[in-house]
Amino acid sequence: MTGQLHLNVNILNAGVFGGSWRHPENPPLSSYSSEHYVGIARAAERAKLDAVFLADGPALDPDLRYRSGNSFEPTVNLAQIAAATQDIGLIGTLSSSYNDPEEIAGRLASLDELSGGRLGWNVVTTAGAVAARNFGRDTEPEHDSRYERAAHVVSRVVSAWDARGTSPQGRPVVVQAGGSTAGSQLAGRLGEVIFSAAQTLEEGLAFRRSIRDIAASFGRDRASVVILPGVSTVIASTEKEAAQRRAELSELVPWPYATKRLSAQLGFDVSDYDPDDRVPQDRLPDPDAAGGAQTFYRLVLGYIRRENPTFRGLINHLGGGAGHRISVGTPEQVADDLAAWFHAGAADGFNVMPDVLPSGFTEFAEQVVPILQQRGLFRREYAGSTLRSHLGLPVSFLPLTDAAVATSW
Amino acid sequence: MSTALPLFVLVPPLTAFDAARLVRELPAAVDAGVAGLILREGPAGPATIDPSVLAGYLVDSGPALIVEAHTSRHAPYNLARRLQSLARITGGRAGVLLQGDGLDPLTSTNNGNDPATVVDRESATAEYLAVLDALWSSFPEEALLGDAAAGIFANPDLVRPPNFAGSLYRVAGALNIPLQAAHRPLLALEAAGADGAAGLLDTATIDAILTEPSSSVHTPAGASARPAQWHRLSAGIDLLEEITAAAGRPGTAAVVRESPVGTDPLAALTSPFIRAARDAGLLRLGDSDIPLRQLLGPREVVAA
Repeated sequence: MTGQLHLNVNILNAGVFGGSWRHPENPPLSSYSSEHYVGIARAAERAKLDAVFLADGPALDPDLRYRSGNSFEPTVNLAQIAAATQDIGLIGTLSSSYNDPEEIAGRLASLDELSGGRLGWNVVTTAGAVAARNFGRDTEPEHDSRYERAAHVVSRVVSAWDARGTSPQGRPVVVQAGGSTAGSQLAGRLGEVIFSAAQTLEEGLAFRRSIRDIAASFGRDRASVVILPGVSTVIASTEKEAAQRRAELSELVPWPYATKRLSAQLGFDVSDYDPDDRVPQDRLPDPDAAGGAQTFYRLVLGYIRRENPTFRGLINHLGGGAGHRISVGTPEQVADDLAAWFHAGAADGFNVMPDVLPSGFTEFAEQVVPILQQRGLFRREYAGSTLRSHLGLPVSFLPLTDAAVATSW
Repeated sequence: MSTALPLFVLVPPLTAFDAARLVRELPAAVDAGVAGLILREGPAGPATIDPSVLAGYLVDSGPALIVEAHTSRHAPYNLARRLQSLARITGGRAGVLLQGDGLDPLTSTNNGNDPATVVDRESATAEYLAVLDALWSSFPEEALLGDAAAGIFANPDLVRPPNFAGSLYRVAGALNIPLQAAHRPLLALEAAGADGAAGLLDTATIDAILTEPSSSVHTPAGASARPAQWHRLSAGIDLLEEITAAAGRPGTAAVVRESPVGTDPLAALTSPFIRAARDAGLLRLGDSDIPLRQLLGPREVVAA
């Protein structure tokens, strides 16, 4: 693939690993101050990244005893970042299940206008009963019905944006990240930037091809979809030091947290097994039959089928994270890794998730980005000042649905 | 005996153009004596800036930030979380002017209550206030530990999910953003605004009432405490006298100025009257770091 790649930084509170908050490079509670997010955004802007990204869910993380979680509401957080920056894109996650489309259309448009056209909305449907119970429900809505509502809500929001007609970038960018069957349909239909999770180059190639095929089936231009796989980064001056850092990060994951999270991901209590037992593959349901967050279940399942790991090996591999690919090495090696995926056509760029924040991102911004710039793979200056400009995505046709958002669910 | 009062400016719903002007004019206004802004929420439809987003944009600009919000538009969990975020970022210099005008669509969708059937707005608003109150105290700051050596990030035993189950709202909680009690968002109602405001005055959760120009609010008999009164200045010309009179009235915690209807929406912000009031010693100044609760003082306790 020719051209330049895109880069976001996912400001995932203290870092992507379950024990990131414990790393001695950063104060343990730093991700609960808004200065943490503003500081990283400013660093991202100096490095000329396309955007900062805030993952989110409207619920308290049940694992808060063992790890940091999301805290600041994204539109408030991004508004503060918008005032402190000039060019960096601002992508925030808001649930299509737990927001009213009229209300968030106005709120997101407001943020887009105040920022000079830098907003993207990452649409998630929000798995889990914990969030559902904050909005009058006893249980989470069924998986496919969440995606049906998502299509209606996105359509209503985009229509409202078009009617408002005030976006400095033409229209805020729609971002989507679902990897389930229903999620892929939504992404191909209405997503302009797709955050994906692929462990191997083959998975990445297949996913990118699949989403673009789905987009074309809806009458969209295949080039109007930008695919950004997530990649966690562990960077050090030498290969040996990087491996040591990776091992340290595994050690920092509180074991009770890791086993509880894995139990939730696999659908059975892993504490019934010895850590050095192989994961019993006959206990793992087919992804489409699994509830909850299917994207990461697919990833974890794929790894299990390839590697036949022990529970200990699987937990170390995941690092207490959700299952994104982890790139471990020197700045040159990480740059090589990203370039290889880009040149192979498996990615239009990457949603970078540094191991620890903010120091891990400083390493990426100051060591890896200059290498990519020297190779002509990444911009040295912003050509424009909107998120669409950075992404190379003009406003294009989206096949919206006319169906009304359901008034009961 | 009158005392200096903090001055808030009531900002009407703004377009993006006027919001940009506000950002440019604000430093001079704060220097002149503006202690806080009350950001109105525009009607659904027209392209005005959401006040909670505008507040987020202004968090590093100095003034306290009160965000107007209508219960008919915001599920209580979402509003509570945005206000808690603003309060944490500003060190307790944020609040909400709540308009109780019915049920929001998201709550209706999930609960099955048709908004049109919610006729008792006072009860509905009281329930909404109770949800906000419970959520804002659900994640105390002291629950955050950050004990890296032990691998314990927080103490969930100190987190208090409200598990609120009312007739209209069911919200489990807790919020995912902690807050010190002293930084809790301020909660205000408008005396001439939503139906049933008078009947809510004894609600312990209400911190302040925004009054009509040249009037005060009568507290119902039997109320244990009065919310602070934010006196809305009239459009008249004797503003300095009016501020002096308001300051001499027990229970008045702040004065509020708004642009006359049909004028520049930022007229009140840039009016030379502010500096004149400051120079006359009528405005409370130098409070840019203290929490709103401290700035506005405790609720006046009514003698039994």
